[in-house]
Amino acid sequence: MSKDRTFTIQLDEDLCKGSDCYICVNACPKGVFAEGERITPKGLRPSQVKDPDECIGCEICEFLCPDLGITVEEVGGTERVITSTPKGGATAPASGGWTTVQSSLDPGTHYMIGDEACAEGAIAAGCRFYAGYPITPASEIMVHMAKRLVQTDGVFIQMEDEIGSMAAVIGASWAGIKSMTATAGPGFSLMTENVGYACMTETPCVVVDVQRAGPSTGQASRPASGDVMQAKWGTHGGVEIIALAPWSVQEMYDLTIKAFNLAERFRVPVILLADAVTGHLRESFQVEETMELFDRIKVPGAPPFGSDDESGVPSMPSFGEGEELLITGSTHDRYGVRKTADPVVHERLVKRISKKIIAHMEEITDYELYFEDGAQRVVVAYGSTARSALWAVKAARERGERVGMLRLKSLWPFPGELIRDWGRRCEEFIVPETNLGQISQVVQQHTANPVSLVSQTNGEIMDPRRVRDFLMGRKSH
Amino acid sequence: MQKAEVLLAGLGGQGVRRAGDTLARSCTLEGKRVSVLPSYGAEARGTLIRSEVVISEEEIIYPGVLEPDLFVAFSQEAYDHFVPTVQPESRIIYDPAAVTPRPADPSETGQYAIPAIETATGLGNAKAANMVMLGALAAFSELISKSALKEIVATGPKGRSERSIKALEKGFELANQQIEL
Amino acid sequence: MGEMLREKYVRQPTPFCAGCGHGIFMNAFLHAADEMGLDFRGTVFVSGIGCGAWVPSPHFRADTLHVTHGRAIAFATGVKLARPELNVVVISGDGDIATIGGNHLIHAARRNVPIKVFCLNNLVYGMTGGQVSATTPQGDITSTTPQGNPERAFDLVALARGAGAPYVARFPVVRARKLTKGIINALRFDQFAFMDVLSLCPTQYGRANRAKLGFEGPSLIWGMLEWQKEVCVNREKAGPEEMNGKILIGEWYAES
Repeated sequence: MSKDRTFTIQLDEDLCKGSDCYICVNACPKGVFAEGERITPKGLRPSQVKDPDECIGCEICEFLCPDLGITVEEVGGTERVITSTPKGGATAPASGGWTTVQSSLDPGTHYMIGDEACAEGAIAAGCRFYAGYPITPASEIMVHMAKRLVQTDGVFIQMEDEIGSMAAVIGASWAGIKSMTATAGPGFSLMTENVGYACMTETPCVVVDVQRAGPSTGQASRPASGDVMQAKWGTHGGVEIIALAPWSVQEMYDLTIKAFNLAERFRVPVILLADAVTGHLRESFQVEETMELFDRIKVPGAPPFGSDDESGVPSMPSFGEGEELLITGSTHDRYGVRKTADPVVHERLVKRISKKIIAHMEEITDYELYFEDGAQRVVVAYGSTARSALWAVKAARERGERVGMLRLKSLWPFPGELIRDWGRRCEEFIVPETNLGQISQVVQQHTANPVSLVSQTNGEIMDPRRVRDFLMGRKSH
Repeated sequence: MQKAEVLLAGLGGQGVRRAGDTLARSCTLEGKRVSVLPSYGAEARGTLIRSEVVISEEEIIYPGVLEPDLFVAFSQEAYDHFVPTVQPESRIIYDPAAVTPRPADPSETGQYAIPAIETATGLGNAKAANMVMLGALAAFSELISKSALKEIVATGPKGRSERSIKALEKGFELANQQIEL
Repeated sequence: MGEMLREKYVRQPTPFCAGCGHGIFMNAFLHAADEMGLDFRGTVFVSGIGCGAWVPSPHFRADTLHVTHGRAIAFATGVKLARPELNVVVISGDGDIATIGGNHLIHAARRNVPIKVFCLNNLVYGMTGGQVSATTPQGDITSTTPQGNPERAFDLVALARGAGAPYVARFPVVRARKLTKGIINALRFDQFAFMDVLSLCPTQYGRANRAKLGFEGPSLIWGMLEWQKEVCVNREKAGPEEMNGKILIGEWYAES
C-alpha cells in the first residue's frame, strides 16, 4: 500500500444511499471520498470520489460499503476475476408423472396396526424422509419409519418439536425427496403455520394427524375427530387443502399412498386425518403386486410458481439444479420474486393455489356408497366413525328402515356436489361425528334438507348403538 | 356365520394388550378375520386397559366389542367396569387372586375362576398369567385354536416362549376342568 | 470488486436502510464466497423473517429458501439431511435465529448437522419497528422497552458453544476483513458452524440509543461503527482487566 501504486475507484451513484450513510467518507484514512454535492432524482446525495490520487488501496471503503457500490482497482495490477461460477443453466432432465412400480411389501395379506400400515404406505409411495416428534397416538408411525428408513437408505430425524418437523419436511421436499411427518392434535396445532407455508410455496408433502380427544392435551390415547376443521382452516390465510380420512388399517396403507400421489400431483401438503382408532387398530390388509405412483412434474427452466392455466400446477425443480430458486412464503410471482404489495399478483396466486385443487375435485374426491337403493335418509360418515355408522345402518336396514350411507374417504375439498345430488333424492342427512359437529355443518351448507348431528365426545370410538337408536328413534315419530 | 367378541381388560402392566395381540395373530393363522382395538390411558402402568378382539369369518365392520361373548377380567376394576355389558349367555373368566366376582345366579352368565397368577407363578413367572388366560379362552370358543396360539407364542424368545406355551396348556386344562364341573 | 461481485452474485439492489450493517455483512460474505470459490450453484441459502433474512433472499443468485419466522435452521436441517452434497447456509437475524428460533439453534448445534449459520445480530427487531430481542443489551432502549430493557441478553457465542457447536465465531461488521476470513473458515468447516455477526441497525437501535450509548462521530452510522471498534476485543489479546464491558471477538473451535 505504498504511494508508488495508483488506484482507480469506481463509485456507483445509483447504489449509494448518500448522506444518511457516508461510511466511505468517514472510513477512508486518506480522505479520498467527500460528501456529495449532487442530489439524485431519488432525493439522495451520493458521496463522491474527490481525491483518488490519495488512495493507498486499503479497500476499507469497498468492504464497508453496505450497498456494494465501490470497487477499488490497482492501475496495472493483476486483473481480478470472479472465481466461482454462480450462474449456470438448468440441466435436470424433464421428469415426473405416473409410473407403475412394484410394491415394497410382499404382495398378499399383512397384519399390523394402522400406524404401522401408514408408515408402510409411505415407504411404498417412495417417501424417503421423515421428520417428527413423539406424540400419542401417532408415535408408532415415527418408530416404524425410523426402522424402515434405515432399510431403504432414507433419512429419519426426530426434531426438537413439531414446528421444526414440518420445516424439515418442507426443506427435504425441495431437496427433491418425498417427505412426511405424523402427529396428533397438539403437534398438528404447532405445525399449522408451516402447513400454510407448504400451501403457499406449493411444496408436496404428507402430514398425518392421528386425531385424539381434545382440546388441548385432552385424552392423549383416545380417539376423536375434532381436527377436521383445523385441517381445513387451521393455517391462517384460508386456502383450499386436501385431506383424506381412512377408516381401516387397509386404508391407512392405501390412503397414505394416495396422499403422496395427490401431494406430488398437485404440489400441496396433503393431510391424512386418521384417529386413535385407525392408528392403533390391528387388522389385516392386502398389498397388491404393483401400484401406481405419481412423481412431481419437472420441466427445466419452467417457472416454478406459475402457470398459464389459472388452475395449473407448475413444474417443480429441486435444489442444486441451477434454477436459482427463489422460494418464499411471501406473495411471489411465477418465478418466486417477492411481490408483497402487488394486489394483482397476490390475488392471482391465492386463487390459483386454491383453484388447482377445486378444478380437480373429481380426481381428488373419494367416497363409497352403501345401501343407496331407495334410501330416504342418508348417513354421511368418515374415519373410524364410519365403521360404527355402517354397523348402525345395516342394523336399521335389517329392521326395514330405508337408510343409506355415504362414506367420505376424502374430506377436503368437500364434495358438495355429492351432497346436493343426494339431497334431491333423499329426505334428510344424519352425520355422526366424534366432535361437536364439524362435517355436519358443511353438509348443511350443501342441502336444504334437514341435517342431524349425532355427536359423541367421550373419547371412545362412536358407539354404533347410539347411531342405530337415532335412526330407529326417528321412525317411531 | 361364526363370530366372537372377546373383551380382555385389566390394569396396565398385566399384559392385556399382548394377550389381545397374541390372540388375534393366532386367529389370522387360520384365515379368520380379526381386529384388535386397544384402549388405555396416557399412563403406561396402573390404569384400566382393555383390548377388544373381534373374530369373524366375515368382514368386520364395527371393530369394537359391544356384547362380549367372552370377557376376561384381569383385575377387580376391569371386572366391575365391564360386567354390566356382559350378556346372560356370555362367559366371564376371572382370576380369583385379583377378582371377587359378584354372586352368580346359576342360570345366568357362566363365571369361571382361572387361577392365572398362581399358575404362572408356579411356572416361574407371574407375568405369564395372560398366557394362562389365553389358554383358557381356547377351551371356550371354537374360533380360538390352542395350537395356533402356541404357534404364535413359539415365535418369541426361547425362554419366554417355552414358559408361555406351558402357561397356555395349563390354562386350557384348567378351563376344561371348569367346564366339566 | 464490489461492482463485480454485485453483478455476479446479486440479482437486485438491496432495500436496506442507509448504512445498514447487514449490507456490510453481505459485502463481506460475497468477498469471502468469491475468494474461496464457493459454488453458488451447489449452495442453498435458507433464511427466516426479518431484515437479515433478506440478505440472501431474493438477492443471491443461488437457490434460496425464505421461510417462516424463526424456523430457518429447521428447514435447513431438512435440506442438508436430504441432500448432504449441497452447501446449506442459514443467514438470518437475531430475532429470527436467537429469539423465536432459539430452540432450533441449540438443537442444531447439539446435532452437529453440517450447516452454516450466520446470525446477523443487530440487537433489535428492525423490520417490525425496533422491538427488544433476546440479544438487546440490558438497559438499552427499544420500542417495547422505553425505560430500558429489564432483561439480560443472550451471549450467542456462549449459547452456541454450550450447546455443543464445534465452530463458533463472533465478528463485528466494522472489522470487515476479519469477518471475511471468519466467513471463509466457517464455510470451509466440515461440521456445524455458527457465527454471531455483530451487525448494526442505525434506524431502530441506533436512533433509540444514540444519547444513551453516545454514538459519537460525524454521523450516527459512523458513531455506531466506531462504537463496535471500541467495545470489541480479540479474544486472544484480551486480558482480564480489558474484559470489563467488552465484547470478545474471534473464533472458538471445540477441542476435539
